[in-house]
Order: sequence, then C-alpha cells, then structure tokens
Amino acid sequence: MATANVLEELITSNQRDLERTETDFATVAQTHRPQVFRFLLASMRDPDVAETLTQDCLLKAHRNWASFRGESSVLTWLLRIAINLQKDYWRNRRLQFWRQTQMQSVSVDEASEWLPSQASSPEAQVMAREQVKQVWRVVETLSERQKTVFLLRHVEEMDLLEIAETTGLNEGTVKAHLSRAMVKVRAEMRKSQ
Amino acid sequence: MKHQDEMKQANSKTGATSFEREEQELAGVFAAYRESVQAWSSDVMSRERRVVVSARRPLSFRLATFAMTAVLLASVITGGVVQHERNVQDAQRVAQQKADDQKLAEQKVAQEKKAAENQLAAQQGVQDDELLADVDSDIAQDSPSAMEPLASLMAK
Repeated sequence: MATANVLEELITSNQRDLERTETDFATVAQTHRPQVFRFLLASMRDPDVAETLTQDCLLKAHRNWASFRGESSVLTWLLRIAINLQKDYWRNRRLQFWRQTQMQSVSVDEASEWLPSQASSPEAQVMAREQVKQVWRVVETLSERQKTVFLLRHVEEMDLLEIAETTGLNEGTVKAHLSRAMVKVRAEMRKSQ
Repeated sequence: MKHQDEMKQANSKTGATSFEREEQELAGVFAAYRESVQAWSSDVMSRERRVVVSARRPLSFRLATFAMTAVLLASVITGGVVQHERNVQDAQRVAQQKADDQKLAEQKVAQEKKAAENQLAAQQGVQDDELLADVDSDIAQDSPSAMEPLASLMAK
C-alpha cells in the first residue's frame, strides 16, 4: 500500500516537472522568438525562410530543452542553434543547386522600405532610407561569418563576449571579423558621401 | 613659430572633430538600420499567416488508394505485355503463312516442271520407239548371199 502511494507520488511529481518544463519552454519560446526571427530575417532577407528556420530552431530547442544546462543565456543558446540551422540551410541549397527552388529574398530596396519611426520629416525619411539601403548593400557583400558577427553586434546589440559565446568563436576572432566588416561599411559610407 | 603651433592645434582639433562626427554619423546609421530591421521583423510577425493543414486521410483510404494504383499500374503493364506478345504472335503467324504459301508455290512449280519433263520424256520415248521401228524396217532382214549357208544352218 505504501509502495503504491510512493509510486503514485513519483508519477505525479514527474508529471508536474514535465508540465513545469513545458510551461518554462513555452515562456522562453514566446519571449525569444521575435529576436531569433529578427536575426534570421536580417541574415536571410527572406521572411518565409526566416519563419521556417525560427520554427526549426524552437523545435530543436524544445527537444534539447532538458539538456540545456544554463551555461549561457537562453537567447545565446537559441541564436547558436539558429546560426547552425542557417549554415545547414545554405549547405543544402548549395547541394540542391539543380533544383528549381527560387530564393524569395527581398531586394535591398524593398528591405529599406521599413524606416525608423523617428525619421518623421520627408527629408529625414529619404536620408534614413538611403543610409539603411547602404548598410543592406554592404551586409550583402560580407562573408557569412562577418555578416553574423555584424548583425549580432549592430542589430542584436550584443557585446563581443556574447557574440563569441553565440558563434563559438573566440573573442579575438570576433573582434577581427567585426573590424573587417566595419572597414567595409566605413568605406562604403565614405564612397557614397 | 607660434602661428604654426596654433595651426597644428587647429588641425588636430578639426581632425578629432571630423572623426567624432563620422563615428556619430555611423552610430546614427546603425541605429536607423537596427530600427528598420526591427520594424520589418515586427511587421512580418504581426501579419496573419494562413496555415494550410493538409487533411490526413485515414489509413484505410490510403491503403485503398495504394491498392487501386497498384492494380491500375499492374493492369497497364500487363496489358502492354499481352498486346506485345499478341503482336509478336501475329507477326510469326503471318511469316509462317508466307513461308507455307511460298513452299506450296515452289512445290506446284516443281510438280508442273516434273509433269512437263515426264510428258517430254514420254514423247521422247514414243519418238525413240518409232525411230527404232523405222530403223528396223529400214534395215534389210535378208541375210547377204555370202552368209546364206550359215543362215540355213541356224534355221535348222
């Protein structure tokens, strides 16, 4: 009788743990989904692919949620998964080059249509659009790693250590990639002035 | 000298200011870019997405579809094979018929030829007999006078 009670208690406790874990993950997914999606959107410039990869990222995270030890922040962990999925995606696309799947990337001009809310006057809007377009153009020319580092720094506003944790690179390498990206951006900006 | 120092100071000041200004401008550009990406992302996320869920058919339906497809495929393949066999058989039959006809024609020709030969030979035989008879009739049956004693002996 006592054993049955203990077993019942154990099962109930496990169920409760499971429910709590599910609730935790649901909260995490709800909190960080916009950031993961934003990073992937900026990186791929394709809303559909960004959406798909975000779903894949959350699915993968959910499967491994129990093994997440909390050594890094949840966002860092999620973005690391997203970066790996993105790499896989590009690798698969390269292998499937004979397939007639069209990349639905939004053009730089179209991507620059979304303007910061502060740019209220028409002149400010035109200037902001032009600047944003230039940044998109430069981002397009960056290598995959430089782009990732640049976006994490200037879109997600991460510091070097966080970027290093997210990308799995050491801080020095991150600094080097960021510096090269910045040189390109500066050169492009000067060229346009 | 004093003027040169003043110029240097002014230049360095101007240089620092332009660098700072450039950095500020760049920071402003990055901020605009960040906000633009955020605005785009929020816009995409706030859009209603239509989820198309393909209705999953029950197992029995899928099995029936599979079986029907298999039967259809099998009948198409079998029909093709049977038709091919039939065509081959027809072609063989026609070839056999042709060969038989040719053989018959050859036999007929051979028979006709043989008949003609026979007829010719018969005619030839008659002619030979007639010739021999003529020869016999033409040749004198009487023995020469010198041979008369011998002929009489034989007659005896």
